[in-house]
Amino acid sequence: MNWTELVAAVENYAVQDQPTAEFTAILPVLIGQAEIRIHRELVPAAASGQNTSLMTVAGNRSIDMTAMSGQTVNGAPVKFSYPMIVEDVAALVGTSWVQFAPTSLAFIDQIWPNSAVTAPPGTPFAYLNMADNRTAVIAPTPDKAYAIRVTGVWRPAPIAIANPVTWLGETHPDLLLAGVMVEVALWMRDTSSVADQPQMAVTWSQIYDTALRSALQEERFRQREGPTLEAYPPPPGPGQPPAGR
Amino acid sequence: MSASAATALWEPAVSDVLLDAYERIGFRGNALTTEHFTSGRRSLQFVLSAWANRGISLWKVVRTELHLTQGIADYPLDPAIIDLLDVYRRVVQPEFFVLDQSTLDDGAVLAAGKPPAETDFVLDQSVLDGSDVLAAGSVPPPAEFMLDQSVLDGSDVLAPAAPAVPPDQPPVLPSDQPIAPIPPIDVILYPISRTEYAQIPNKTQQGQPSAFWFERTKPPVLHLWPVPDATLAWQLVLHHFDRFADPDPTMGNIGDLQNRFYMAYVCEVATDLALKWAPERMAALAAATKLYWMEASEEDREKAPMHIRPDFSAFFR
Repeated sequence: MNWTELVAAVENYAVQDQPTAEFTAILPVLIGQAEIRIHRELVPAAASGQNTSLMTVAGNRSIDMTAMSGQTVNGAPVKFSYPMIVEDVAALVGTSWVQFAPTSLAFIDQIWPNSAVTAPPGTPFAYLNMADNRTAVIAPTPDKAYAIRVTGVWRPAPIAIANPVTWLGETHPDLLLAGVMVEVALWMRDTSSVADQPQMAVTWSQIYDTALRSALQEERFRQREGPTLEAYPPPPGPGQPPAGR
Repeated sequence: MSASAATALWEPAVSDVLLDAYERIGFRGNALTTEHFTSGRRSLQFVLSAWANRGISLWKVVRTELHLTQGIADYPLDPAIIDLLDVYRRVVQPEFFVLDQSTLDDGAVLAAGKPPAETDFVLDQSVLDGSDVLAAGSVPPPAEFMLDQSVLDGSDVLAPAAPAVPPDQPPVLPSDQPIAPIPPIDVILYPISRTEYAQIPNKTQQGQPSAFWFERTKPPVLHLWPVPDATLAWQLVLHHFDRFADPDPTMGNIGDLQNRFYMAYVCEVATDLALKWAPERMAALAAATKLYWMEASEEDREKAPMHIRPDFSAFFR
């Protein structure tokens, strides 16, 4: 479901044969809000990735992730250059990547009190703290520029006229439509029993929840968390039949 | 075909020990506050202080050589020394040679850097440069100069001297024979208690030291009896058990531990932290700590036969 198809479907479900200018203007906002909610509740494997565009700066223990570039989600642009969730950071020392162990900023301040002293990452340790949502602080302070590899989850850019094809619209169109319709219903104030369509918001919420459960189930399989990877049941006791799977 | 790791050199940074200890009580690294850090730093130290009371850790047994001075009975020792294990006196230092004036060429005149009254002079390179004339306050007797072989130039050839040279019998040092190191002669010294030391009537009596009292003050003091005399160049060799180096978790410092004690240490630090931060985990950690400590301490021993026999010699003379 691309942008044009999504808008047409929303107008259809909202019985907007002749959408008002106000509705047309607010629709991208409503779609954006719906996408944000979906991405909070569903972290797809497609949004995960690695980026190696950053370098450390010699003598500087901070890494500014807003300087990251080149990241996409399924080939589509991302909303922010830096990841929403930083899962792992590593530095290329020689020919090997040295992973930073996550610690608190207080811990880093304590174990490397003289940040002017520099050393290669991993000598003898490599610690990292996300001081805010886009700035990492590492210890030891790097002695030179090292390539940085950031593994994380990026926020895809929302579907729009300029970005008509997104992973969410192509993979979970039902979820996207339901999420947008919840926002539309709220905008149309069809939330009370005295409105023209009193059950619209409730109905779309139920549809959204169903679609979300379905999408989450698919993502569990995609991220190898499905039942095939669950622990084997305990072996049967003496005289008991084998447990069925 | 995969290869095994090429090194066996891993030594954890103290900060990694601290992180691991906190993980064992359920604290992740990114949850640690400054208070956790300072508390952990204390635990790192307290555990090692407690370990120092549990007996000898072999990698903390250090050998020190102490030059004795005639008439001096008391020798303050390094404050890091916890206990003396073996003490023996060595009567000749193999790296030094006794020579007299005749062994130096070019008319160099040896003189005492120290007052001639002293019986041993240790010369370094600076005193034997070609232009140096070692003016003596008075002509020192032969055999009163001791110097390192390396300070002699090519034309200087020394001959061995007797290990013990009474002042009234100057050695004969042929100048055309290469010198040979004099093998050391070691004599064990016996420990005595404070009371036994107190019972010695004349504590300034000079002779060959045969007993010592290790006074465990801060810093500790070694008391010798008899007090070294002037007949020989005395050297004392001490094997002592030292404190562990302070476990400093900053700037990537490595802990003063042996590989076999890593698990015992991290578990015991975790147990101490659990006492403060996660008492519900303490019992399990204490049990694990006890196990790992026993395993490590049983391995930390010298694997040599032990002979027990009575000593009928005089305790000291």
